[in-house]
Amino acid sequence: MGFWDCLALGWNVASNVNNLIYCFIGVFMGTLIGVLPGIGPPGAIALLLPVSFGISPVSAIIMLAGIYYGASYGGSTTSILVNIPGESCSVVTCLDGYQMARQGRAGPALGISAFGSFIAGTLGVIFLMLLATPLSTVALRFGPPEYVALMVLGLTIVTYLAHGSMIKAIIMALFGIALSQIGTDLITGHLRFTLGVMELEDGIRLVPLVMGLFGIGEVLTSMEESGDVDILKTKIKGLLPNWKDWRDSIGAILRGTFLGFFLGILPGGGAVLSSFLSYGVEKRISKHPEKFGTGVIEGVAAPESANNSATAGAFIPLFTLGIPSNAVMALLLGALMIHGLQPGPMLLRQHPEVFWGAVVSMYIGNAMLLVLNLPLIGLWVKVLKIPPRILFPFIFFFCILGAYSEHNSVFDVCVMLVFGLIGYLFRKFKYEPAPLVLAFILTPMLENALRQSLIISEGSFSIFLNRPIAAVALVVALLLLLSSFLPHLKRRREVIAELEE
Amino acid sequence: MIKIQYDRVGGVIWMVLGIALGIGSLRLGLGSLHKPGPGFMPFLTGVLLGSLGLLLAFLNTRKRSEEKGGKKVSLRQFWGKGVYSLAISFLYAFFLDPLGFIVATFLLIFSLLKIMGTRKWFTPILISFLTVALSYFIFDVWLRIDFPKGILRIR
Repeated sequence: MGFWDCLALGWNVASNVNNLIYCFIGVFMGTLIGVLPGIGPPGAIALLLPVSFGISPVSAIIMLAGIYYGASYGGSTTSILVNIPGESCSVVTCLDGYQMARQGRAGPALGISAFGSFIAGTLGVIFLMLLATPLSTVALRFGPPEYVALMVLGLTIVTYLAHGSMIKAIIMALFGIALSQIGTDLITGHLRFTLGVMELEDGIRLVPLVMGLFGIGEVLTSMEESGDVDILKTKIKGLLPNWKDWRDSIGAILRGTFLGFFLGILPGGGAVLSSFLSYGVEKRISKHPEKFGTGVIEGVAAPESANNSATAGAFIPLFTLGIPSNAVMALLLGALMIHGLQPGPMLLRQHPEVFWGAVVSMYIGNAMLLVLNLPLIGLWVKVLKIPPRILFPFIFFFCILGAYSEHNSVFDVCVMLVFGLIGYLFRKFKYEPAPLVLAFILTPMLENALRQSLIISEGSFSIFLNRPIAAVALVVALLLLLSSFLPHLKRRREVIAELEE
Repeated sequence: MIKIQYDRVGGVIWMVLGIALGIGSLRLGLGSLHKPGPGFMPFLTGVLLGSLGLLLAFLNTRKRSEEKGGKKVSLRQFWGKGVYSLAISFLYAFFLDPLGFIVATFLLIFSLLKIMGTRKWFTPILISFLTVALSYFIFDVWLRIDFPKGILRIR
């Protein structure tokens, strides 16, 4: 099937009324949770998973993906108006966005972040379309050793990109590996670390783990800062950026888009990292770097474009290799597998309607988001005014519902609450949960591929060095690990960690 | 005020966890490199976790003595609302079966709203009632999630 046939197929799927409705629900929910502090895309997707069981796999993916890319639109609104980032990928937007709002330019700031997101989101989807097919063809030639090496590389990148202490990041990944070993060993049938609890025989489930770490953990942290939100009392007018605004920011948008997409492919904090980096790039190449932080429009346009195209990039490893690169992608993987679809290189061949339907729906979703975020900005400002004392109980309740409803299990609710407490402590003591979650997801796949590789090679580890792709990936992983202990880079990590605080 | 060196305590906790994991894995059986047993991978994880915990505790001691004292981490706020909210949620999980979804959820939302500092009585009661009604229709009637019936005998 040619490119245009695929696109036509995708259009047919995505323009179906049902799918349009699910796409709208997704981007609406995405914007909502982007605006609300305390619940991020992983929590919201986990909550809507039960909805996705009852609908077709394409509709499910369309809706859940909508939440993901919609959240990065919503996150910027709070950064600009309240100086509190709704999502971690909108942290940088605060720097210049809030200053613009203080100078009475909230309108153009919100406008350029929505248009920038739209342009970046759309271009990101085009890159995704162009790259996915050739990459999946390459991936078809991969065997278990290549998968082992790529997953090891993925885990290394996540720990490498984690903020602050590298030792803590590796500890988090190891803790994730340890948690994923609880339950029945699939090869030998032995029970591992179940402590006699029957419910643990199936292992810890992903949804309660994610909702606890990211949902409850975040609310508990936010409770400490809760006071009512202080919204800048400025009239939002002139949402359409003027000619000068466009001239200043179009370069930033395009550079942010490229940077964002390719960094988005990396596992872990692609969206967050790309927003920081694109801001740094703009500052470096600017003619007036000293003005950054005082309300320049490029400082809003670049990170907002980068974090949006990064969400498109994050789909690449899932659709071409079947390897999720973050918690959201892992939940999408779970949703597809519940419907009996195995993401990976074969998905594009066996079920082209799923991939192309989802991709085309992202164009449509981006257009919906533009409408949702510009004319309806007043609605989101009202949402911002919901006091935390009303909001937090609901996030608690939603997390409980989400954890319970997947398997109707009270035990899962308890697991979720325990991980909520753990997630809170992690935030408090500067441990990042991202490497934990990715390690938790990848370990069973990794262990399986590792055993298969060793069977192929009859017990010899040289198989990983004899296959060029596997060898390169492992060497890169090793270099990354070693480089993080170089004094020069170590110092730089510490500086970044301090800046973020 | 006693200043605890949090990272050092953290390092010790990870070390203990790593050792426990290692011992547990030995009991499961390590197997051989050609035929790894069920304890093989957890054993490796435990050894690495323990060593890094040790490293974290050790590195931190050195750094702290240079910097004289780390930043204080306050847990005071958490001990109020956070602990109560978690406790109420655990109670909810415990009483969901006997009380049933409707009664238990009403009590949960109401208590959480009170914990978070809503002063009046009427508003939380109204909000709790509306939440129960709405979530019942969405999750039970529409999505057919099987909630416990409990004392009201409806679900």
